[in-house]
Amino acid sequence: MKKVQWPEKYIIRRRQGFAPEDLFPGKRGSMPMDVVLTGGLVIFILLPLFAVILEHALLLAVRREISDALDMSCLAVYESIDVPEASSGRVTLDAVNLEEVFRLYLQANLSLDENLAPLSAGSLLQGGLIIRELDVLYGEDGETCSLGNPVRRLTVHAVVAGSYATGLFERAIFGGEGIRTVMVHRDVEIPDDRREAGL
Amino acid sequence: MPARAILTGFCLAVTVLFAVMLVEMMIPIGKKADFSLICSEYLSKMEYLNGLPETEKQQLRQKLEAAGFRGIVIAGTASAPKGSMLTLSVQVTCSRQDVVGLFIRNARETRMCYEKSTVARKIYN
Repeated sequence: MKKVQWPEKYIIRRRQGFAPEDLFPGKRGSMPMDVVLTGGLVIFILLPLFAVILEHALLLAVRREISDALDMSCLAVYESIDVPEASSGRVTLDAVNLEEVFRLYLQANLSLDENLAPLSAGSLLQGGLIIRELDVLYGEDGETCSLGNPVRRLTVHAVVAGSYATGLFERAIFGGEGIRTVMVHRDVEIPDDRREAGL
Repeated sequence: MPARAILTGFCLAVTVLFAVMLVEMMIPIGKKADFSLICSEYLSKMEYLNGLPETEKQQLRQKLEAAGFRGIVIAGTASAPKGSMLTLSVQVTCSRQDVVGLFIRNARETRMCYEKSTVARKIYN
């Protein structure tokens, strides 16, 4: 029987366009290659991607913990209000007592010892805490804190640096000592009824 | 050919499993953030109420239960003189389903703890 040669326009091609096997005609990959590609996808794309996301979540959690502790420590400095001065109408804070109270509440809230080093190996802050700035601002004449935030009332300005252990992924993938430092800044207003009432 | 389809399916399943496992690792961080947020709200209340009254304690318990926490233990300074230290200590258990092996999911319980101190508000007039 004679084989009919159809004109090109009547031939329906199975596939139009480019496909990977066009590069290597007749070679459609192999099963070991599939396994290697899946492994590569997990190790080189999924793990680093989640490592970065996890590190970021961890950083936010540590920052929030320090920030909460800092808020409470700043509020606790009421204790250092100079009472005789307050009774004569001027609200001032005793600088020496202020730092003592501030440190005491930081220790209580972040499980730190008197040198602001972690109390146990399971502490949130592996490298301890350093008080970089601690200042009382009275909010007079457009006063700003050292980082430029405007202060309108009696405010405690604090900047601390805390070191925490990074996640296992970051150490495994990017190397390093596994300790990262985070800076936290808070300006906390001290409630002052007299000033709020305009007295 | 069927062998290849099975292998491709298996590889896909392993990839998805890894992705699920990694996403689930983030859940405790989120849960801890929720827990801390609820507790710090009540610590702020303690600061101006000069303690944690029984009604507030019950409200805190209900809020934590509504957020999915179990085994709640709350200990807080009930009442304190103005200017003194107040402490709130809360322990909860958070149970969730976790991927623990290839195609194995098990219930896992995580114990979370919140212990913070603040000062009872002192007002100078």
